[in-house]
Amino acid sequence: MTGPEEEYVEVGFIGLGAMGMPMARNLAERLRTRPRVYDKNPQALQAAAGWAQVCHSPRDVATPGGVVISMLPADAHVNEVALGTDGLAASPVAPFTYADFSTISPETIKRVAGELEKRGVSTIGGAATLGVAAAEKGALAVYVDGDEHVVNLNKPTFSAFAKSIFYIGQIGQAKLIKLMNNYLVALNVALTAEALDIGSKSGIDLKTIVELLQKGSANSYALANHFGKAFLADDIGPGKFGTDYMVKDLNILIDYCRSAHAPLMMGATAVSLYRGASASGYGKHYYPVILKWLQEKTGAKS
Amino acid sequence: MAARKDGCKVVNIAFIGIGAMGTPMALTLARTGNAVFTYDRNPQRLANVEIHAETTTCSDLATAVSETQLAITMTPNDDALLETVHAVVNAPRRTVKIFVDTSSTSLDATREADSVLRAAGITFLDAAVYGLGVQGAKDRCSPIVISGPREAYDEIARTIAPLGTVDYVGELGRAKIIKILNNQLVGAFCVAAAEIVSIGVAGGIPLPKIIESLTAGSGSSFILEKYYPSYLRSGSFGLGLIPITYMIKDLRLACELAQEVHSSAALTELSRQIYQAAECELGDVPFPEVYLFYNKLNGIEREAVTA
Repeated sequence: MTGPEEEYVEVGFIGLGAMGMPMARNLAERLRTRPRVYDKNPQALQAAAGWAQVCHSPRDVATPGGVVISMLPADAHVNEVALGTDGLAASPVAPFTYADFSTISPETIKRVAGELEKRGVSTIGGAATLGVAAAEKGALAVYVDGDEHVVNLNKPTFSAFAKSIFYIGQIGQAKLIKLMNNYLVALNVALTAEALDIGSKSGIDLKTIVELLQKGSANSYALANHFGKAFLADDIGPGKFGTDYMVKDLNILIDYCRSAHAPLMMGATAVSLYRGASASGYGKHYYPVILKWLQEKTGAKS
Repeated sequence: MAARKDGCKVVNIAFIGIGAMGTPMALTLARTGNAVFTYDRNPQRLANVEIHAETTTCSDLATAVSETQLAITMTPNDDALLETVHAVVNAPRRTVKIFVDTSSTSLDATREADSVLRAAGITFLDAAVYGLGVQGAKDRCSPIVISGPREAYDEIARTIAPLGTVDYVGELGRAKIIKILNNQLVGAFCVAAAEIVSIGVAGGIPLPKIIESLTAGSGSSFILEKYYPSYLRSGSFGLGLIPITYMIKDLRLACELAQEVHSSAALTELSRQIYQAAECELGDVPFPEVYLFYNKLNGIEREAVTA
């Protein structure tokens, strides 16, 4: 916890989506401030108007010496917010800090950081894990990289939405860790789905298998949460992290591995499975729906 | 017969297979008020000081099963189980009524054991220990599943309860299926973890940082939380982990079950092939060392770990 004598830098937030909105609101509540916010969607801006200062472009969010945080859907959005016509690079108020927590490729954040540096903006590459529920509680786990001194200055700010902050290293590495995390959860979910499909077709009740496997060495966050909680409660419809987002993240990693000359055999097979689920109409569904898809595809007995 | 503390009669148990897992299990049964008769194909194992002191060691199987109503096996494979089953059936003056197999054996072996024992008037229960290894067995907290005729299970439930957390899962074969699914996941999770952790290391992130960061996230798992920290501490992913060829066998059992029940299991099939490739490259090392196989592919030297 931070002491009362500690001063926070002025904070702005871009991208008020499922993750960004609760992150920005936690900044407002816990730092007792009215963050400057921007989103392309006027309704999202209006929803934040009660506790934030609404801005009309990314460049207006920046304040001298402050920090602008973003949480955006994909690489193109980060490029536009940082380097577009009305982007942060066009702001006259530098120096300030830009911290992006979107799940995008390491290459994109490296390029953005390089361009912004020329204009006196320091960039922190970030990433957040544990999902929307943790974002609501201000209890995300976040990975950050870049200049360690700049990161340390901003840690008290990030603590408003994160319960743990891991400094990873060079710019781009936090995005890589995040892609690695998403790879693991994608694989743990898909592999668990395969085992549960086999087990339930062998005649054992799905709930029983999920409970038993949690007691042994096959336990995982995915088994306990994605299946033990969401799937068993039939909470796998649209509105959470969808299958298409998982396909997107795995594809970023596949691209990364192509340029890194690293094999991604399990990852590539997993993306093809998720793509199959998406093609069968489950693109917007919560991705553990892959078990339902496997069961349907291969004629579940239950 | 002496009375146990809980008022039950002392139960005579034949325990067959005194290996790494069988030893602590037999000792637990002896220390909870049972008369345990131990047997192993390898007589040297019966020389274990505690086994020698606390159980009645038998130089042949027929002796062990002529004193007891309950036989428990912890054997290394299908052949060893079936050999034991036939020896029990053929033992003169055998008194065994209930036979519990706790080994990692196949569904086919379980079915064959059942038919042979059933024909001889012995009730067969299949069981499986599916986690926490030797230490779990010593600490009496092994997760155990057991399946087969309910009445037979009810008869022995209190006797075997001290071995760990025991769940009865219904008709014969289900315990083996749970074990197969468990090992399938452990094996395949390990390949996935190896593939991605190696990419992080190749990307310049130190291994301790990768493990610390990933175990805090939604991609975490038992293997990431236990095996990798052990590797970082000692260069070994853990004690008593099975070699790659055994894991390939376990994944084969899972793939065969997938075949039998018409499940696709694409990633499981792939992980089995990756172990095959790793074995060609590394030899028959403990299965989590598939990580070192990926490191070779990615051109990473073996980490200097504090041994």
